Amino acid sequence: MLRDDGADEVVEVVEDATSTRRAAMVRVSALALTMGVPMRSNDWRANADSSSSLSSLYDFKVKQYGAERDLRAFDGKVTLVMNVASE
Amino acid sequence: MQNANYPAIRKMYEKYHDDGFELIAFPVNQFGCQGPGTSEMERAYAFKKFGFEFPVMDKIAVKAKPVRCKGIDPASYEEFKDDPDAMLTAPLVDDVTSSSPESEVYTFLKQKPFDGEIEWNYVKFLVGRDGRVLRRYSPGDPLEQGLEEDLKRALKGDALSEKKRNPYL
Repeated sequence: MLRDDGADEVVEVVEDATSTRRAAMVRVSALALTMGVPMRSNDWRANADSSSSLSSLYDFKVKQYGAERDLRAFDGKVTLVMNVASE
Repeated sequence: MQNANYPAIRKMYEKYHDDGFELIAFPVNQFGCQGPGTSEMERAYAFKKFGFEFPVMDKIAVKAKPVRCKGIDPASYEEFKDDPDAMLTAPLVDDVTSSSPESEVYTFLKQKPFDGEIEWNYVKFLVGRDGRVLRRYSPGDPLEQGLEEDLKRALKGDALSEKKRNPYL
């Protein structure tokens, strides 16, 4: 049916559709948050940074003489890592 | 088999240390319970056997599955550290490092294509100047496995040869 104010009706329909879509996005976002899925557009970058932080041995910290030692001290060196034992 | 590591690595350390070669060791008590000493004791043993002092970190676990081994009670070490004979009779306790979760460093080192469980003491990983693993070597003689050639290339910033990067694949 066409009405004189048909245009307004169309706008109203569009707003309804937008509201529905927003509601759906809110539900999906909430579900994603529950599942730990990154949703924000920059979250993938945060995850990539997290992965890349594990891409170098020299990003780790270990214990030596009971105190924390940053392997960053070896950055730029060629390092041989091995497990040893006394017997 | 393991003894070949001491002279070979000492020779390479003396030869290439000034060019940027470093050695890092982690004492582990997960292979035949062969590392029962405290971190201090295992460190001293490594210095003696390799013939020089280098960064030997505290004891860690390198296996994905925990291992039950006995170790010298750190409290006993403090009590008897100046008396090696008394240390021989020091009581053993459950070694908490052997049953600890795998060290994050080893989770990193064992990423593909260098994966596979650490099979014994003296497994070696060559790591480049950028901190990325270049090659994994078995517990055997490092020279027979081409470690010196790889080291020279790595120090120059050249790519390693195309042989297997992990001897167990």
